Amino acid sequence: MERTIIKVCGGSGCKSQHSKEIFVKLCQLVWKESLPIKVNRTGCQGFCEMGPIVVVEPKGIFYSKVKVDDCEDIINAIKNDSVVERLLFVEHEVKGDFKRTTMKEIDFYKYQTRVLLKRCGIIDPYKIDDYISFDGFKALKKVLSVNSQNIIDVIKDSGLRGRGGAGFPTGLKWQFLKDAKSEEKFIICNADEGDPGSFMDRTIMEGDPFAIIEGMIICAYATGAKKGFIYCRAEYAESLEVLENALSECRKHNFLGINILGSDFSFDIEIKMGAGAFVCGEETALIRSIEGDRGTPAAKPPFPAQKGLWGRPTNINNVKTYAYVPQIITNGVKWFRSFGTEKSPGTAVLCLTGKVNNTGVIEVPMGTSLRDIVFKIGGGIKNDKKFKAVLTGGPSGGCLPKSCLDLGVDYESITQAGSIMGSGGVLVIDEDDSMVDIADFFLDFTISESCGKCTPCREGLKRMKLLIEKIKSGSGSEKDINELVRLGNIIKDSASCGLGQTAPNPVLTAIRYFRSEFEEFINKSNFENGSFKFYKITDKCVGCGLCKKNCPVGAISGDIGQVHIINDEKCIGCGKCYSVCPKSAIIKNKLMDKNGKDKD
Amino acid sequence: MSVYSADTINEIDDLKEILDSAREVSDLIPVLKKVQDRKNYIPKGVVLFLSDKLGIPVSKIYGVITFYNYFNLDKKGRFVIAVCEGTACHIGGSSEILRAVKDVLGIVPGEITNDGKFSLEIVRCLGLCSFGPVMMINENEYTKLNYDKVREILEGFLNGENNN
Repeated sequence: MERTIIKVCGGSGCKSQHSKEIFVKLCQLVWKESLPIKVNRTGCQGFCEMGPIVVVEPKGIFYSKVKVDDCEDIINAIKNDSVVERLLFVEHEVKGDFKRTTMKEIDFYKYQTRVLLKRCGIIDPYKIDDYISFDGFKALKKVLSVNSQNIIDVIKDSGLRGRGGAGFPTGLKWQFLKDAKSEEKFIICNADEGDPGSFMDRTIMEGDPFAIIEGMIICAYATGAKKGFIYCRAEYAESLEVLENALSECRKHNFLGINILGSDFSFDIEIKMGAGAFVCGEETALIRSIEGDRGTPAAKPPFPAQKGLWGRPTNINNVKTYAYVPQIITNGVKWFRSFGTEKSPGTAVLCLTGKVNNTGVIEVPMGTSLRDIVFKIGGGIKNDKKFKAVLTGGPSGGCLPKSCLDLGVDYESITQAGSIMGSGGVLVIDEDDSMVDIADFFLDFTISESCGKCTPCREGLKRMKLLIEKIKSGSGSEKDINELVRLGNIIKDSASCGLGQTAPNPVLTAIRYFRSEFEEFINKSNFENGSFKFYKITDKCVGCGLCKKNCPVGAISGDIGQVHIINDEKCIGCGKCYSVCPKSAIIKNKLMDKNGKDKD
Repeated sequence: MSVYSADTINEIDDLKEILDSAREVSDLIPVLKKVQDRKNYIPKGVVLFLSDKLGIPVSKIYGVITFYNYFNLDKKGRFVIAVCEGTACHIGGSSEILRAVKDVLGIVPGEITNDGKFSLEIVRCLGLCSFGPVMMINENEYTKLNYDKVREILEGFLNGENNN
């Protein structure tokens, strides 16, 4: 019993299932009997589906879906050197159900390569000593005695690519900042994890915050920045608290502040909170937000490394990108390149969610097949349903069907298939989910999050939405499906920023791989009952004929003095009739208005 | 420099400490957040005051408030129900939660009950995807929801069980 440590997962997921009360109860029981057992809280264990999770070391006994009432049995089992059978994880396999006693035996963990996540679920994220005793700040101590260009060369040689989604070579980005001629430079950590279905950045912030900070300090040293910012979404209350504590601890230990560890180098970090805008994940929009403005992306060039925050050269990297840096410095380029592929070295931290048995945060070498992720780690489809597709890259990505299951997760393969890797969300859908509905859902999201600056995004996405509604209502045609594709590609080519340029992806991939689902709606359509209209002439019409006269496509018919009618098939929804009607007799389809409310 | 009406002075009186911390343009969003957290909305008086103090046009401050989902100009309910419409929750059945709220309280997203007690909004992904569908009522999280559970929770609020 002497070396026993009980680790209670304190990640946001388990916390929502009362893991904090479990931690407190276990502490009380240990204290009451003065048992030689330590009870530690940790960051996210990753297997969120099974939370709250409690692990008993040194044997690594894994308890899942723990309740406060289970605490006494857990303590008794430790005293008796046994296990609490009912709390053990049950692996469902073709051969049967098997109880697993330790983490190592569980498929979800067995098939992972936990490198970036190595401390998550192991250390207490509030204790800097935990981090230090687990290789923490070794890299920083190493770099302070080295020329800053050497550090950048190591990052370049490692092939580390930005894990925020764009996959730009990190070493190159750092070089741009280093080469910029300016007294004042900034670095920013983009922790505005806005993709629905992604919570891996949060897992790292709450589980291993010091790694992110160490990575930022190393970047600042290498590039000449003296001030850094972590831009974190306001919704991540727990992450913000953990990060504030971590920064404070770093200052106490002279890892941040003036003359770090006795060197000439001074650097500090401030946290800035987001305010609920997905587009602020785009680096120039993020900069605008810190400056106090609306998050409208700026044209590039100039790139942030030339002219960024307050006009100064700025480097922005994702949470995961910075967190890799200390390990790359400590373990070397060869080590990092031993994982992954030639063009995408290292590992990928992904969020596996949706209709799989095992959901949570996972880490695999880049290039691991989607099939292994869904069926080996994910444990296959829930309720024995059939796999339909995997959605990657959130609202900027797309769906990948069964034929893509053997694709490896890396930047190039996923992009060629029409989606993007994005920041790492992998959502699995089954035979019961409608691709048309999902494409529609993602469009709703990007329409509401569009900053409104450029016409292709602001207007084009709404037109795509109307076309999908038309198809769903049964009034659509093949022409409309083709128009969706044409319009989507135009928006991709002409939108001003990454949000607009990728927003059509879910629709385009849904049509590319699941066209038949769209066609099903068309084949069901009955034009006599077809209900989709852009505009409708009501009984208020006095038959003045102004609308008919102004219609550019001759879609309106009617005699003078009679209520006129719009031919929905011909109508292109330009709104000319609506604007010229002197009696306000024409009403607009509510979908034309962003909030879905009729303005009339 | 504007001359403030009595209404405006009332609105900003209890926010003096927060508003005094606004010194530069980059303080705008953090200060607005503190006001939002305290009052549950941004009073018009705050906009006028900050415009004068920071030298930013009122229209620009309105632009910031209406751009970010965190802020609102109208008062929210005493209990703010935020339903997660992230992808995982959506396919997990978040529409059922919205239906339950509609059936019990009669409101849809963006609306507030007549007595000002409850307001409903959509949020995009709280990061609790393994426990969806999810909703929050003020700071409290409710997970693994379905229609019946939501009804039960809301009826509890209506019966005064959770009112604090």
